[in-house]
Amino acid sequence: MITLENVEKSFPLAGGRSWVLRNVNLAIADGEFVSIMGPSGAGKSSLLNVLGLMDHDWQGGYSLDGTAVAPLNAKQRQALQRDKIGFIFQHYHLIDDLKVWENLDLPLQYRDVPAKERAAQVADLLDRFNIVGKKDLFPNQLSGGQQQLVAVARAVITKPRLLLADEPTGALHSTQARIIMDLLHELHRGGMTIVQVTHNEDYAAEAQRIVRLRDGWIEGT
Amino acid sequence: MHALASWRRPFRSPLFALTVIVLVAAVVAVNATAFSAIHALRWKALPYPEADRLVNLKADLSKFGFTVGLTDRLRRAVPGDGAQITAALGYTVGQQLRQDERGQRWRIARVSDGFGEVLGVAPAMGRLFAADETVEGRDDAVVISHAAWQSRFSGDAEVVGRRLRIGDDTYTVVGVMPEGFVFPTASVDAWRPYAMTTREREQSEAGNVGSLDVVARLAPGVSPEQARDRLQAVFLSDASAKGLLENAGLKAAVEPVRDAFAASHWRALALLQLAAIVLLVVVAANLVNLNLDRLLARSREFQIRRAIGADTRAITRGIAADLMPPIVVGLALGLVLTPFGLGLASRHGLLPVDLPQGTGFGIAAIVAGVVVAVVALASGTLAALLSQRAAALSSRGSASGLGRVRPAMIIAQVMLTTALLGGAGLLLRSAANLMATERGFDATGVVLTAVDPVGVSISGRAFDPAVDGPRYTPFVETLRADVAALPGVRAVAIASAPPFSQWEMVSNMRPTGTDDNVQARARKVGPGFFNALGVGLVAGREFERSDPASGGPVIVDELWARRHLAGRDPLTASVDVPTGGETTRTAPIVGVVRSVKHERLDEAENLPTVYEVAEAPLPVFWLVTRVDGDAAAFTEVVRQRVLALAPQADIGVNRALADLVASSIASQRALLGALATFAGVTLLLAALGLAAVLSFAIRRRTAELGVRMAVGATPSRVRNLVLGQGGRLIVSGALLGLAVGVPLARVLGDRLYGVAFTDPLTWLVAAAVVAGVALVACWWPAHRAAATDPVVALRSE
Repeated sequence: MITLENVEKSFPLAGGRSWVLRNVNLAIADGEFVSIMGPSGAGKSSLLNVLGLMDHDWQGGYSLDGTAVAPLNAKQRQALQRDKIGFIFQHYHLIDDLKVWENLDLPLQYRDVPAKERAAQVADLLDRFNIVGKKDLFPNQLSGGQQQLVAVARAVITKPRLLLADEPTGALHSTQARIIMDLLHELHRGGMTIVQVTHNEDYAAEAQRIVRLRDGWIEGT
Repeated sequence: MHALASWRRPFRSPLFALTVIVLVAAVVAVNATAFSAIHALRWKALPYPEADRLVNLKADLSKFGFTVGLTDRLRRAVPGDGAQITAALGYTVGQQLRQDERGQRWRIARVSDGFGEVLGVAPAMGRLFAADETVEGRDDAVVISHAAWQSRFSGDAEVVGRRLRIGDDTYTVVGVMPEGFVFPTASVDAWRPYAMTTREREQSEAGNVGSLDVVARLAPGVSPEQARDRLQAVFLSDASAKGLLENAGLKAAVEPVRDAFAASHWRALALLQLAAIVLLVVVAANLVNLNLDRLLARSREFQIRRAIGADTRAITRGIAADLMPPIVVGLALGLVLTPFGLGLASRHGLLPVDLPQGTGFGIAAIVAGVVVAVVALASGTLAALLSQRAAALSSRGSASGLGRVRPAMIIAQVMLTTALLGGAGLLLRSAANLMATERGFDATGVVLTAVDPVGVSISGRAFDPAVDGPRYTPFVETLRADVAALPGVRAVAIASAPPFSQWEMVSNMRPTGTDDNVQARARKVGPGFFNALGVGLVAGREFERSDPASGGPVIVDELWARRHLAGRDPLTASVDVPTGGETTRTAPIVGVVRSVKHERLDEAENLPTVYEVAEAPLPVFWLVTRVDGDAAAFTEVVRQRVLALAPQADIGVNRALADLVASSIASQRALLGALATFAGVTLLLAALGLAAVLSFAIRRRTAELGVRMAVGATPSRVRNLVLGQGGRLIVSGALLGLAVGVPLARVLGDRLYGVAFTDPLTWLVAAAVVAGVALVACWWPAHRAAATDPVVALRSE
């Protein structure tokens, strides 16, 4: 699913460069569940941004589901991202002024899905995630766990092949975090490739593999 | 020390301080100018005691469509028993300036008896005129203004009794009026007795109204309506007015002296004030935006202040104190600019130049300026309050990152701009219609020159028809032939009162064989006149050199033929032309020409015109010259030719006809210019405000835009999102602008020509222009939003 070859990312600094990712080689198979761990500043989120095609300023080779990313222009990368990837963020990043169902509807709108079809998909997902009763609420009327539940639903509504989760449980207490982790397992069992960044050793261990980063280098997998 | 610090603080952000200063100064200057002008017209005290009892008396020739002055005979009859009108003062003001022996130029008014009694002002030095000084030959006394005494006699305390030579005449200074006394306008330097010449007396006795302006003092408690009844009674009882009552629909017209200027300028100035207030509102809205941005950037500082005990009032007070220094500087600068604004308004005809009460800088300007400054400060304080109320800035209802207040302000700005631009658009179309209106002549390359070979009009010399007539008649033809021989001259003709000369003569010109009273504009013109002026010939021929100068044929205009010949062939008809007294002569019609506009482009077809052939209409005649090329540049050539042949001649008007036509709509153009400028500035400010507000919204929504991009929004979608957000505000504002502007434009009604105040095309174009400019203003923030980097955006959360 993912192949990274000698991926490097750095910023110019006075008198040298500041390295964020160094010589990263990583392969993630289709349907694999991988955790990325490391101390603050190790490059976890940077790696996730590269994987998620949100960051284009890096060197090396990256192949996503058989497509080489480096030669793609911005538009093509965006199309690939829309087609293959879903995101979950630590702070949910729901849009405050949109209701729950509108937040779920948004990714489908951006993919030009007809309204009728969108309504059906949103209804399915609300049902599947058991949040039908919350559909007309605004994000700030939900608990953190409920908000993250909606965020996961939003990430998967477009049926991405790859789900990238940046500390999905980082802002939640343990009961809510458990619900989210269970949900990720369920999605994984459904065949989705999942890469999560986490500080939590226990949740990291629930993945099939842990990738450890330090100072931009992969220490081990 | 503390006060000094509070003055320094706002200037630490020099761009902010400068912006506030410039906005406040501009809006203070504009509002103070408009309000000062209106105050001067409507409320400022006239320089006469109990000035509300002073009225102008006029003769309204209702059938002709214009109002003129009276005769001295009628003036003298007006007071009667003094029950309604205690005294009436007649006066004329020399239209031309006359030079004294030191080269200084004087404008002199002639005033009848009642000068002091009517105006209620006594001289500061010397005396007014004695009764015997109103007799011709003993009228060499002159009373000078305080300003003339200061500027021309250096305030000489011994000025009374001094001799003063002006033109060919010598006067004795008998008095100096007090400082601030002005009559009838500020341009008059001196007054001398109205001692009628024999010709003036004859005209007065014959009822030829129009020669004398009259101002009267009402008895206490008498209304202008009662005065009008009194004047009408005089008209009805005086034999000299009989002809005008029957033929011209003579009616008494009485207006308070103040209204003489106010009537013609009030509405334009009210519009200007309205536009200035609109500008103030738009500036205030921009100040709120500007302050909000600045205050939100200081939100951390305010949190700290709150943490150490400051309440909302204390923080708001601090913010207002910060705003004071730039607003005060802006106010001072705006007030300094106000006299220039008043000068500009006067120069462009929006404000009378010579108002007796003056139009200078005064309390009105200060009041207007302070009000504007208070509004500016209030807008800053409003921003301070809003910045502390999160709900007003960001609410679910707004769904835009703008809150409720900012969209409302943008909508208001777009609305007001649309209304202003629509008004300016209507005036523009009106001016274009006026300029394109059929005027009956072709002004291109035509120069009009008023030639006074004897020097009656400016130099004050006497014209004796018996002596000077035969003497100067050959000169007229010599001059015409001389100018005709100049290179580039295509045609030259003589005329008594060409179009837009502001000269008028109306006579009874009835078709022969009828007893009708047919009032018509009577013109005397030489051969080639219609050709020189480009007036189209409808039938027959032009005057020719072979036509006898006296007792010759006439040419009528289409209107006369249509009204009075009932389909008969005009070339078989004739006109009874008055020859003085009750006698007439029969003049065959040899041509019919197109009707022309005489005074204004928007004048109605009220009076027909009959042209008589004339060799030399003396004492003053007009030279109508058509040249190839620049007519304005040719005026100097004509002047030199006249002076070369007659060095003593006075030359009055000497201008391109196109300029005279343009001058006739100068006030409309000035109003158009002012409104268009205001509309342009308002549009610019609204556009800047819109761009600033949307940029602000985008800053607040950076994270959200990042999320949208992370979940699949393309840059074009984000751009359209922002454009849509701006677009909705713009469309709402423009629609409201139409809803508000169209009914408001009714006040423009009397200034519009050939276009209704509801004209859909004008309003749609105005709305489209505002919407177009506003959308362009949205483009940049939208473009910036589309370039949002989701990684950076999400990190900023």
